[in-house]
Amino acid sequence: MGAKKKGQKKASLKESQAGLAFVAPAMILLFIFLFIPFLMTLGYSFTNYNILKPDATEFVGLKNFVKLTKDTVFHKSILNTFLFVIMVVPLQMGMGLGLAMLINRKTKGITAYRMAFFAPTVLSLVVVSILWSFIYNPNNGLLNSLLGSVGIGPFKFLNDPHTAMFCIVVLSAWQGCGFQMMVFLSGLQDIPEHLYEAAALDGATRFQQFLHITIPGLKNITTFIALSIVVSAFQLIVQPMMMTGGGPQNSTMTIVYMIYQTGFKYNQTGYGSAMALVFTVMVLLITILQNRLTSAVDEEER
Amino acid sequence: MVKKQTKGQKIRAYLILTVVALLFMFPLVWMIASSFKNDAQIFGDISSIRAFWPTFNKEPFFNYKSVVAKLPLLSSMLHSILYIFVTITLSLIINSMAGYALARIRFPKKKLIMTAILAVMIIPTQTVMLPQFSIIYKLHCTNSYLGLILPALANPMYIYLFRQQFLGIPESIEEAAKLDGAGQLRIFFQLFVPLAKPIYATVTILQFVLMWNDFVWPVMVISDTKKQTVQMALSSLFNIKPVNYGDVMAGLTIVTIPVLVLFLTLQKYYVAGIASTGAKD
Repeated sequence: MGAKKKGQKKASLKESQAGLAFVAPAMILLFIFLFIPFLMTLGYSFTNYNILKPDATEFVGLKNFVKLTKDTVFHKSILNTFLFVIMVVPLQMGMGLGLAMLINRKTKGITAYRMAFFAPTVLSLVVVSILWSFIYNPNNGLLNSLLGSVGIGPFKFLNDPHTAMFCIVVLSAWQGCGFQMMVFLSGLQDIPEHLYEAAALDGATRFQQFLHITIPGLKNITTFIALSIVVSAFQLIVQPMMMTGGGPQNSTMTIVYMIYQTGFKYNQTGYGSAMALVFTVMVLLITILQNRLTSAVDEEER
Repeated sequence: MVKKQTKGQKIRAYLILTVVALLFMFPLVWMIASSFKNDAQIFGDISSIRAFWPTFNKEPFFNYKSVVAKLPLLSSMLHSILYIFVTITLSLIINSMAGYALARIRFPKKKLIMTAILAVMIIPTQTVMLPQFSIIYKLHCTNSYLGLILPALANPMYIYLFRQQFLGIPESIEEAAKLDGAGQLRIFFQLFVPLAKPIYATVTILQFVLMWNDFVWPVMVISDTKKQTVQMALSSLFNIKPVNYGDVMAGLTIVTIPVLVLFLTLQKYYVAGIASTGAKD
């Protein structure tokens, strides 16, 4: 981190007061709406707290967590969430990198193409979910109609427990990959042109250049992108909420959707908080694991 | 590349770009094209390339008129714009002042505060969603825009972005002002805010897109249909059975216009924001 120490002079009283006054509003708000709720999640998960019956709250020890180990729908939701992450991360990264390489040129009108690829990322997930529900509609949807006209299908898409999650993966990658395209693009533009020129003079093919110049040049950015997709993919909720209700046969039920349903819809705040805690631990573990892995790779290369 | 591309290579590049762009844009093109058709036309065209071509009827915007008549879509858009405007105005002040102090002012416990901000940045929103709701409930802010505004004011990510921006401004800027005896508040607003305009634009558009598109939290906080946010109104349109495709397509298009306009005007800053959150460290 780049907190440079500037000057050895001690802060004056006036300056200290100003500094504290400047950070105070943000700190107070973060304390009330982020830090305290975080502690409350911890606390609630050991109680049977119900927001409508706060007086009946009791400490129940590990009961919620024991219940979680037997809750098959929750297990399914964990599995589904991991399945989603495993499918969406490579797809979205690949699409982002592919698009970035396509638009990394200085031809006329390239901005228009860049905007076109970026446009889906400003759409809301509600808009995207509704639109793709129409596209995936098995009876008279766009996809089955178009495929049918060339003799393929029909497919059940979201109505088939085997394909429903994959359908959500596709639209999620489509909606999100514009971001990754932009980040990859800024990475591509940071790679010095002369590296490619030298390689070309040495007779390296396009593919070799990609393998030995582009990929290493994007290493840091790739790590960042992977982590950000993983973390946001873990939070999947709107698409199943709008498109499938978690079905068919719970095949698109995700952890966050379950937290929402249990804690908010059914008012089992205590039990929902226990789920939220498990979710948090998983996200943190993945963040730490990914940091470890990347720093290990860094060291190997040194 | 040093050597000029040949004409053939150029054409090939455009061809590939165009094909990919068409494949990529088909859902949006279908959405906009269908928003001008009635349901019979939509389903008549659906299995051919004509699905992506609008049909202009006598009154081309009939779907738009009917969806606005059926749903309080315009008023929910207005409400959303208003509460988001209030949030962003306050958020810019609160987060940029914190970011400025962390970058440029010496005060006790600064390191600890910075560490705390970096730490809370990792907490996923979903972890705190239920207790946040019970706090809002206890503050009697459910069914009120306050319930949407309050938790969105302070944001560790934005504080970090502002801090990075203010760190990059040369020290000589404030030295003269300090010698003149100017207070921190004046130095901040008169010298630093104008120099950091791009990051204000970046945070504005990041937060606008985030809040305009937010769905789960408004569903939890707002239950009065008159106070529905724009995404809630849209989802209720989808839940009216039987679904009228033309209406829904027009609704989807209307709701997308404000973000698209803001994005097209501020896209430089949006892209800079994405790149700067990605490229640093």
